[in-house]
Amino acid sequence: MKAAVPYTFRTGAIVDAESVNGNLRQMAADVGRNLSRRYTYCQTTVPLTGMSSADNIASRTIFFRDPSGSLDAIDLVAVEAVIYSATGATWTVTVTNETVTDSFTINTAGATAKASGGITRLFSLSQATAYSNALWSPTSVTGYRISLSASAASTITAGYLVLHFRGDRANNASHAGYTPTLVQATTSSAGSILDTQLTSFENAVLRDTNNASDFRVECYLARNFATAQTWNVPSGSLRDGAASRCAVVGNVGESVQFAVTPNTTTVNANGTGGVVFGAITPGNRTDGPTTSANDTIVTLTPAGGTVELAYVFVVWR
Amino acid sequence: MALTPFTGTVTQAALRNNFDDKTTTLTNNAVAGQSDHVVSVTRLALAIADDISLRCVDFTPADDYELRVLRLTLEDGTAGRTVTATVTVTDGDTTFLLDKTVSVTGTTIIGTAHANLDLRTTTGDRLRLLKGVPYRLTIGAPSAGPVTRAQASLVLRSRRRTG
Repeated sequence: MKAAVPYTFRTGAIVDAESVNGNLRQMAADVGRNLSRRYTYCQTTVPLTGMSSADNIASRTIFFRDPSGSLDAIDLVAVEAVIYSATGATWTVTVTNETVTDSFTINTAGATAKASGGITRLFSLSQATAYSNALWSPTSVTGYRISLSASAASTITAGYLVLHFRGDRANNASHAGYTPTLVQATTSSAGSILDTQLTSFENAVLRDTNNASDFRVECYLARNFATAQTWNVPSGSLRDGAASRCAVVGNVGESVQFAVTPNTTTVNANGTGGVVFGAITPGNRTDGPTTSANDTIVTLTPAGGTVELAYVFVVWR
Repeated sequence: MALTPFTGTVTQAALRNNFDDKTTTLTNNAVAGQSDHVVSVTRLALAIADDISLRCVDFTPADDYELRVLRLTLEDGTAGRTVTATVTVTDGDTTFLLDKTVSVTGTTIIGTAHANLDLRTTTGDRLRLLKGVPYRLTIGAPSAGPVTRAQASLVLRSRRRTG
């Protein structure tokens, strides 16, 4: 976006109120356009490979919550699903948030034949709910909940969800633009007025910056695993860690250590009927996606047995 | 550049400086709305006989994304095996990738190796994944295997927009 003002003031030229006001009007229009560009899209894949219709509902459900009630929103805008599985079953993908539930179905086409479906709908979350690291019932947790079920016994040979998110930079911010107070030709204190106007203009611009939250979301998941699994995640522009939400489904005595550069946290499973959540803050990364030293290394290390399901949503800002 | 509060007579120079300062603030804010995220597909124990369903991911972007980098990460205990990662249009309409072959080939070492297709260079191809077009990110079969871990990643850039 090119921000410019129509009038440039040069020594020796006449400064009149109309020129000054012309600049203020242009700046007001520019800040309005900038503020209106509040949404940033991203997508992430959530593997389903190995999921069985006989699995506990906690293992057939993926949860995602906004990183904090004090930050801006992340809207879920579309969900795709791809399933490879033996014929004879219909999988239903149900997407729920605090107020909306919708679903779509996919008829399996074969273990190596692609079957797919999707839904496009805006699922938003309120910002009031505080995050809690606690055991949650898979049917009552708030946030985005995407669950799968099948009409007949079925195991997903290969498959994944593609979640499309929209970060809303201004959801939690004052999004008022800037309305200039214009200078009059008879104004006796133009300097003071202009100081006020330029300060107001900057405040309007930086309302977004104060919420510097062009959120993007990535998911890393392991299912039925007994050894550590690692992802090398290239860096890029604006890869500042906002939050990560970890989840574990497993037997009592099992745990998963989540490592998201440079921090770690361990979450203990609490029985396969529920989901235990944890939190971890990813570090800020230097832009440089072709340099592996800038990578974020995500590692899920199980302990105590074969863990049914573990995943982490990493949120960047 | 910084804002110089007006005092006394408002000069042309002060006006010019201060308007420039504020429009720069706005420009920087707008430019900051370019942010990257990563889409990846991972296959453990990548074998020659693996069906493609096990080593690819299909997706249809909900927004236009600038394709910045295609990265292939290979972890193995044997050196010299080659693997190729590729981006294609699922329905085969190659015009959506400007008829370009978007792929990168990596070779395993004992340990972890990376190969990058860097699409950020000013003189090279600039590609954009378009909203509503189905794409596929694929890890190809290895020259020999199994390869302990193969991960193909796309670094995608999105820009803030109005809706």
